[in-house]
Parts: sequence; structure tokens; C-alpha cells
Amino acid sequence: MNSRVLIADDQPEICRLLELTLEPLGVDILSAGDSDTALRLAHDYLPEVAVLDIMMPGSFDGLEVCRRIKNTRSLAHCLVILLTAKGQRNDIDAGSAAGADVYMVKPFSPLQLADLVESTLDSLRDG
Amino acid sequence: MDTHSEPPHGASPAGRRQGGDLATRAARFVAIRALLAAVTVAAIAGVVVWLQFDLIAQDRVEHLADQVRYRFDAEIRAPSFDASLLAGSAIIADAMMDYPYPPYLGVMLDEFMRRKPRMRVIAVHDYWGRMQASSGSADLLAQAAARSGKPRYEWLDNGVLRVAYPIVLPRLGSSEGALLIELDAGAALREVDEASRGFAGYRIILHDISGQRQTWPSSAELASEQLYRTVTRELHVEGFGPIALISVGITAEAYWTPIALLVSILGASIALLVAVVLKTSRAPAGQLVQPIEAMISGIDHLARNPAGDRHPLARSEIVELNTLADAVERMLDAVAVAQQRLDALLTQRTHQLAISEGMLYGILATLDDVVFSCSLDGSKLRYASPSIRHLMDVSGSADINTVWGQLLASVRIPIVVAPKSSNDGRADTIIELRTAAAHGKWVRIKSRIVSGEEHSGMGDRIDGSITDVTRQILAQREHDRVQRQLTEWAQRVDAVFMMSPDGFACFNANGVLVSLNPIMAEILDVGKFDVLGWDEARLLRRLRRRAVSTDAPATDAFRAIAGDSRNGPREAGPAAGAVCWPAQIELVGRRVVRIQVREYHGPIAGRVVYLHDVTQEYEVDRLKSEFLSIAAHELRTPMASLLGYAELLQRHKVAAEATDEVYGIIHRQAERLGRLLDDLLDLARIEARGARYFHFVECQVQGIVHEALDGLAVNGDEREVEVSMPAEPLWVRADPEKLLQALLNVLSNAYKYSARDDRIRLTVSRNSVDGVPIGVFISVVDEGIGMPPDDAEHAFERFFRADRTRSVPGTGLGLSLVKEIIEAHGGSVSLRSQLGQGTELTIVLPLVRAPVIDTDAPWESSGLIAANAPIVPADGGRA
Repeated sequence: MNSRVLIADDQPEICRLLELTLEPLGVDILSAGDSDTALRLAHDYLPEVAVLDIMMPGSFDGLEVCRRIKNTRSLAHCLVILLTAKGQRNDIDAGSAAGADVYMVKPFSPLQLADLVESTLDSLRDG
Repeated sequence: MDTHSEPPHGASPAGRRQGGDLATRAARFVAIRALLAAVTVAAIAGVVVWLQFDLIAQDRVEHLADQVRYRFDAEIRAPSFDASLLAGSAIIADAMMDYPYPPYLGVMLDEFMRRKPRMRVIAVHDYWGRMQASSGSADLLAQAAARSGKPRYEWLDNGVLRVAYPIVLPRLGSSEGALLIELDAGAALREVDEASRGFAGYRIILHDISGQRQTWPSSAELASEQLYRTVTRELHVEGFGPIALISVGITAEAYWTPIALLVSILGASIALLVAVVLKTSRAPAGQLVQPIEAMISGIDHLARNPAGDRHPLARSEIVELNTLADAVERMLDAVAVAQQRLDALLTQRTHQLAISEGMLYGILATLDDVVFSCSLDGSKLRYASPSIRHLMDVSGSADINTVWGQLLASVRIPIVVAPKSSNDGRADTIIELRTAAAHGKWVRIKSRIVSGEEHSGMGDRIDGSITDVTRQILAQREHDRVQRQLTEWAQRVDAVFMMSPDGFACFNANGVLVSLNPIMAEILDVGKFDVLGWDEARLLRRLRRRAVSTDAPATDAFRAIAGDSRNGPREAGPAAGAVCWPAQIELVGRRVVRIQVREYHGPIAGRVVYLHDVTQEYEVDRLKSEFLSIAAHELRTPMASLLGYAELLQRHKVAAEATDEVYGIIHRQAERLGRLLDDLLDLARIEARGARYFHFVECQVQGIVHEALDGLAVNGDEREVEVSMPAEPLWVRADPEKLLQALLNVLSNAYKYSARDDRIRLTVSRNSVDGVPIGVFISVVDEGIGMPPDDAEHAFERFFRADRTRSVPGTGLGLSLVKEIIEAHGGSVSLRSQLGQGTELTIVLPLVRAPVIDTDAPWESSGLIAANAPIVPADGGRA
């Protein structure tokens, strides 16, 4: 069974970019355009990695999605990467307070993200 | 002798006259006592004599009464007894039997009567009462006796007693007649009375047995009068019981006259005695007075000539007087010594008084104030201290009364004081304050009325003082002026503080809140007067409670205050000096203030807590940073796509079949970035320069609308806009390029947010007030997806997008730009929308009157008219 990666971003281009980036890793990609979909997918498929934008349409923002994922026991192991255009100090603080594992500021390097996801999946698989 | 009542030695002649001289008083004293003794003796003697006299009188009366009875018994009773015997004798009875009566009867009766001196009548009456059986009238008494057979009597006036004895026949025992006799008892009594002439004033009175009728002497002879020591005896006649009463007494005159005589004699004797005593007792008193008078004249001499040599007082034989003289001399010695002491003391006191007077005048001369004393009406000055000349500033030669008169004349309020009576009735408690200008000087006069004292001879007057108060008055005026200025200044400052949007609270040197302006009270949410008296720490704690958030310096400051209140006063507070810890806090009600505490030093130290209202700046800052943050986010998103895809391409990580798609994405994202930058630049220019960035000309709305519809090229969308415009040209003053841009933005939104089969309509209309068109409405309506009303409110905010799915490309700046452009034209934009129903956006622009236009110029070509074109009236344009 392939590993699952959740992608949540309201910008379709970014979603597509992430798909293109992560497809070569041989993972199932769960793509969401708003926070409600993202949370539903996370609960349904229990992804190993979640890449979340902060500013998203829907009931919550990305920080809240992150917090909820981290508060779900079956998802506690999930690596949450916050991928956002908000790069100010207090934004990053808010991200870590929400329990995010990685905080990436747009523009970002897709390959670097791919490496991060791959290494995480490898370590999970080994563990 | 009563020496205590003697007048004192050396008294005035008047005093000597008052008491009467010693001899007279002594004589009078003896006489009064003699008189008392004589009266006492006389009273006792009088009583004894009177008692004796009374006894004698009583004896005499009884003796006389006995004498009268004896005489009556002898001269009346005895003959009546004889007559009764005669009436019962046989001879009389026999004689009665014969008729006419035998002659012997008469003889016998005469003989019988001859030896009876008091018997005036004797007769025999027959049974009918006729005398001697004659035919004369009947005697009632004799008749009664004859018929009853019992003796009868009656009293006539003048003491004549008639008695009738019945004549009873011895054999027959029947009464045949009566023997009547008349006895003159009065004559007998008169004889006794005349015999006792030695006792004048005695009265003998005969009454019948009832005591009611006085039978002798007759009442005509002797009126009834009060008798004293009366003795009464009963008189008896043979054949009857007591037939009369005899009373003997002394008349009032006879009784009292001897007593009155006695009293007169005694009184005369006493008077004589007193006179004799008075006469004889003057002589020894005169002997007593002589040495006393000698002594008095000696003392008088001493009194008249106290300093001279003293002759010893004369001595006499009377020991007491000599002792008195000794005492007087001793007293005179003591008086002389006291006089010497008194003289010495007087000299000393006079000397002291001279010194005191010198001092007083010295003090008065140095005194700036004037002390004065004047008559009650103020007209006459009795005294004024020398400084009055300084006060009046007159030459030294002027008379003091003239100076006083000038002063009074210059006093604006005359010195007339209303007397206020004090408790003892002496008006000496009046204090009168007057301020008056005297020769350009202000003086204050205090005075009081002193009522005249009898011995001082000063009479009623006013004492007082005059003070030069010119300097005080000037100082007071200057003080008042400064006070007014200060008040004005304070009111101005208050007014400024009142109107200031910033809050102020002032603390005095003791750290107590003394004033604050209304804004400060509003910020603290307290009543203006509730906080007076607070200290600074309390105010700042209150401020802290009102704070929603604080910046770091404010937090530190509040911590310091918290420590301050625990650790003691102001240790941890901001250092003294200029502006202290400007700290910013956000308060309830979205107000943001910067706290400053300024300490000022001067004559009065204090602190001001100053809350500078920076809400506006804070809001601008917040909006700016928010905008920057959003703009950065919006720029980063396409940038992230561009960089990300570029990296994938560069590393050949993109599958061949996806390459085209990636290139497409990159192109679109680059375009989006470009549009975003254009919009941002436009907005920035409008914001920075406002309407100056615009190039305004008069142009026709219809032309611009046509241009917009022509320029609208939505790829792949074949829909036509339904246009409805009035035929007459509507002129506005606008920048055609910008207006065109705004219209294009609005129209492209209508296309983007509606489905392919939804209609899009554009309507141009105008509104008029009183027939004059004033505004043009350009309304664009679509039947697209619309948005909820909440979102419609935010539609004009930068980067706001109701479409959260981002399915429609857009920057979120389009409507912001429209709003800025239209508002720069003096117009307005509004938006109405319903979710799923569509959106209506209306632009309102002010109309202008049509300019004169070159008819050859095709308005469609640019809609642009020369800016310098002259203006023509509106009706010309309409035609």
C-alpha cells in the first residue's frame, strides 16, 4: 500500500505543482482546495504527510487544520508541513504553536520538499 | 448719754446743725424719761383714785336708797297701815250704816289725818264709790275696792299714792264701801332729796312695780338719763306686796366730772414737771459741752493749718474727754506721718510719669501711624501725634487744627460713627474702618467713642488711629490684577485641555490628582470629580484595567507601578525629566493612546500624565502592514508557482506529457503577476497623488461606454452586453482613460462571475433635481453567482475575493481600483448582490454642462474634448 500525502491549497497551480513534485515518489496524493475537504480526506485516508496552506477557503484556516490533525490520535505521526506565503516571525510562531513539523515559506523549492517528504516516508517505513 | 449719735469732730457747721446741740438733746432725753415716769405714776394714781371714788359713790347710793326706804316706810307705809286698821274698825262700819254719815266721822277722819303729814286726803266712799254718800261722781279706785272687798292702789303723777281699803261690816262680813287715802310719797322723797344736797348729782327715781312707769319725779321734771352705780329697792304698803321700786344712782356728769378733774390736775402736774426737768437739765449738759467745743476748735485749727505747729488740745476735768483728746492727738500724729509718706510717693510718681510721658511722646514721634483724639463731632482735634504732618505732607508751620481740618475735608467718608451701646451703657466699643484718600494717599481710620468719665473731665470724645495704607492698597490692586490674569490664563488653558482629543491629568507636588480633562475621564470611564485626590499609581492602574493590549514599554511601566505600590513611593517610576517612557496601549473602544509622563519643575513641582491619542496613526499603521502582508502573500503565490515549476523544468523532473501544461501554467502565472503589479501600481499612484494623477476633461459618458464595450475582449465568451442609454449626450468631467479602466474592470467582473447563458446589462441614466440634471448613473447588472451581503460589504477592500475557491482568476484589487478612480472623480460606487442571483454595481458621476464643441470632431473617436473648451449653458447642450 502506497503512502499517502495530503495536499491542501486554494491555488490550483500550487496543488498541481505539488502533485508533479510528489508523483515521482510513488505516493498516493490526496488533493484538497479548502479546509473542510482537507480535514475530511485526512480523517478518511490517514496520510503520512500533509502539506497545508494557511490561507484557505472553508471553515478553518490551515493552522486549525494542522491543530486538528495533530490532536487526532491516529494522525499524530503525520508530518505536517505548513506551506504558506506568510513569512513573518509571528506567523511562524503561530505555526509551531499549532504543532506543525515544518514551516515552509513560499516561494519554495519543490525538490527540497520532495526530499523532505521522501526522507520522512523512508524513516516511517523503516520504523 | 447717747454719744454715739454725736456728730464727728471737725464736721461742717451744716453737720453740727443737723444733730441739735448737746445740751438740748440731754435735756430732751431727761424730760422724755421724766414724762414717761410721771405718766405711769399718774395712770396708777388715777386708777386708784377712781376705784376709791367709785366705792364711795356706791356707798352713798346705798345709804341714800336705805334712807329713802326708811322714810317711805315711816311716812307712807305706816299711815296706810293705820288707814287699813281704821277701815276695819267698827266705828267706821257703824258710821257707814248711818245715813247721812254721822258728824263725828268727819271729825274723826280729820283727827286721823292731822297726825299724818303726808296724807293729803282721807274719805269714805260708799259701795258705788261716791264720797261720803254724796251725790257726786264715783271714784273708780274706791268703787273697785268696795266691790271686790280687797284693797286697791294706784299711782298718780308726782308720786301721789292713792289707796282704797274696803270697809267690811263685821257682822255681815260684806263690803259696804271703801276708805280712800292719798299719800304724797313724792313730797317725802323730795325731802330726802333735799336733805342730801351735799351729794350733787344723785338721783332718786320712783317707778311702779313693773318698773315701766316713772311716777316721781314726773318725766317732765326729770328726763330719763343714764345713771351709774344704781341701787334699787322695793317699797311695800300694808295690804299689798311690793308696790313700787325706788332707784338711786349717780348721773354721768356727777360721776365723770371728778375723774376728769383729777386727770386734768395730773396732766398739769406732769407738764409742769417736764418743764421743770427741761429747764433744770440744760445746765449740767452745758458743762459737758464746753470742753468738747474747746477740743473741736483745737482740731479745727489743726485742720486749717496742718503744717503749722500744733498746740496741745485743752484738757478738762472730765476723764473721758481727756482720753478722747489723747486719742485725737495720736491720730493726728499718724496722719502727719502718712502725709509725709504720701508726699514722697507723689514726688516719685510724678517723676515716673514724666519719664513715661517722655517715652510715650518719643514712641508717638517715631510712629508712622497717627494717633488722635478729637471731639465727638470730629470738628475739634484734642491731640494728634506728630506724624500727622508726614501723613498730610504740609509745611511744619501749619497749625495742627488746620491740618486736621484738611484731613477731615479730604476724607471721602466723614467720620461719623453710629454709637453702638455696650452693656454698661457707655458707648466705647465702636470700631470704625474707613479708607479715604488724603492728598493722594490712602488712609484707614480706626476710631472708637469714649464716653466722658466724670473725674477725668475729658467729656465724650473719639480716640483713634490713622494708618497710611497706600502701599497695601496698591499691592492689593496689583495682586488682584495678577489674580485676574492668572484666572484668565487658567481658564484658557482649561479650555484648551477641554477641547484636546488627548487626555491630561495633572498631579501636584504631593502626587495628588488635581485636574483632568473630559477625555481623560472618558478614557478612564470615571466621573470627573470621582478621581480628584487619586495618586498617579492609582490612575495608571485604572488605565491598565481599561487596556486591551499594551506594548512592551507600557507592560514594563505597569509592572513597575505594581511594584511601586508595594515597595514604596515612586521608586520604580519613570525617572524625573522630560518625556518618560512613551508607551502605547490599546484601550477599550479601539482607542489607542501613547502614555507620557512629564514632570515639571518650577515654583510648583508636579507631574502631568498625558495620553496622546494615536488611534489614527495606529490604524494607518495597522492597515499598511496588513496591506503589505496581503500584497506580499498575493505576490508570492504566483511567484511560488513560477519558481516551483521553473525548478522542476530545470531539473527535468517534469514528465514529457505534462510539459505543455506546465508552460501554460507558467504563462498564466506570469500574466497574473503582471496584472497584479499593474493594479498595485495604479492604486499606489492614485493613493499617493490622488486626483492630481488624473487628467480631467469634459467628455461624454456614452462615448466612454462604447469604447469600453469595444475594448472588452473576453476570450471565448460570445455574450453581448445589453446596453440602454439616453440619446442626449451626458457630459462629465473625467479622465477618460481611468474611467474606461474602471468600466472595463466592472464589465470583466460581470463576465467572470456569471455563467455563459446569463445576461449582462449596462444602463446609463441620469437623475435631476428641479429639472436640472445633476448626476449620471452607470449600472452594470449580471445574473451570475453573486455573493452573500456580508461579502458585499467587503467587496471594495483590497485583495478581497468573495470567490474563495479561486476558480475565477483575479487579483482582488479590481473593485478597489474602481472605487478609487470613481471617488477621485467626485462620484461614488455601490454594490448590491444576492448569492446565486447576481450582482448590480452602480457608478454615480456628477454631470457637468455641455461644452461648446467642434461639430466636426468625431466624439466617438476618443470621447475626448479640449480641456480649454468654453462652457455653454446646459439648455444649449440639451438642444
